Amino acid sequence: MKRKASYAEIRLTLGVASVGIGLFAANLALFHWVEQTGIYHLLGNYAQYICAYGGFGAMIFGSMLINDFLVQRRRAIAREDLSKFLVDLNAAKEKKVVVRKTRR
Amino acid sequence: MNQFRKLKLILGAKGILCIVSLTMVVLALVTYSATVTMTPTRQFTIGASSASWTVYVNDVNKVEYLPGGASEPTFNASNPDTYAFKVITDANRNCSIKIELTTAMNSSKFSNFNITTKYWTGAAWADATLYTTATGSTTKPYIDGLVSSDAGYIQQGVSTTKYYLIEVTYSYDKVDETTQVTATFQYTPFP
Repeated sequence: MKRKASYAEIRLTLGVASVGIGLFAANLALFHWVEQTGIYHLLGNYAQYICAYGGFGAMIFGSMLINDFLVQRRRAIAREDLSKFLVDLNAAKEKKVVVRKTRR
Repeated sequence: MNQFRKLKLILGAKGILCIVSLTMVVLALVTYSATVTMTPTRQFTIGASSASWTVYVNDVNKVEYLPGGASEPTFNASNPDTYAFKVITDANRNCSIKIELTTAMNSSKFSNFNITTKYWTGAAWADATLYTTATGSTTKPYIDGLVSSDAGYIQQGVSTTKYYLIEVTYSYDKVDETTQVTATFQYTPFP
């Protein structure tokens, strides 16, 4: 049975894709934009600027999503470690109590 | 609305903004274009490009053909040396051919140099009508080779194929010279 992708994984995928596409779009708009005769853009003369700003936005928000994923993962690891530590601590306490009772 | 909430839950505000940015990029790259494929069609095809005529001193109103010499050539559609040029028109466009000499003949040697054309009817060569302009209806009997830039036009209708022959009626009766003379015919198609 397939495991369902978590929200964090979906966000990571979207973030990585956005950074890549944003980089490509910004690069295209800034350095490789060619006005071809006979080709009309849906957004007219603003197409280049919208492409550039869209690319910047995609890079920024994509990076934020990747960062969120990394922070979330680190937090999850830390939480897991803490809960493990607490479990171990409880176990140790219980062991001590049992030892004292047996001595008495 | 519920779907949007669900999407917001999955992606978060940053994810939504990310989607908006990507949508902007996609919209900016949407273009409209139309492609036209053009097929050039040749209406005029040259046939024989040279001929050799023997002209005698004191010839008067003698006839020579290009190609063929003193007599009309035996027509053969698959042999370009048996006609001067070929014109093929389709159903959409007719064609006129301007015929002229690149340089007028020397009038101190020739007393006349009249150029006419013939076309192949399927059984014999028949006289073709010469017009004064590419599209007009005024005709002329011949092109005067002694007059500089004198030209005549052949008008051919749509959906026809015709083979043409150049006929020259000349009189070489002014001088007693045997120096070679050349005449260069120029054909200009006007679709």
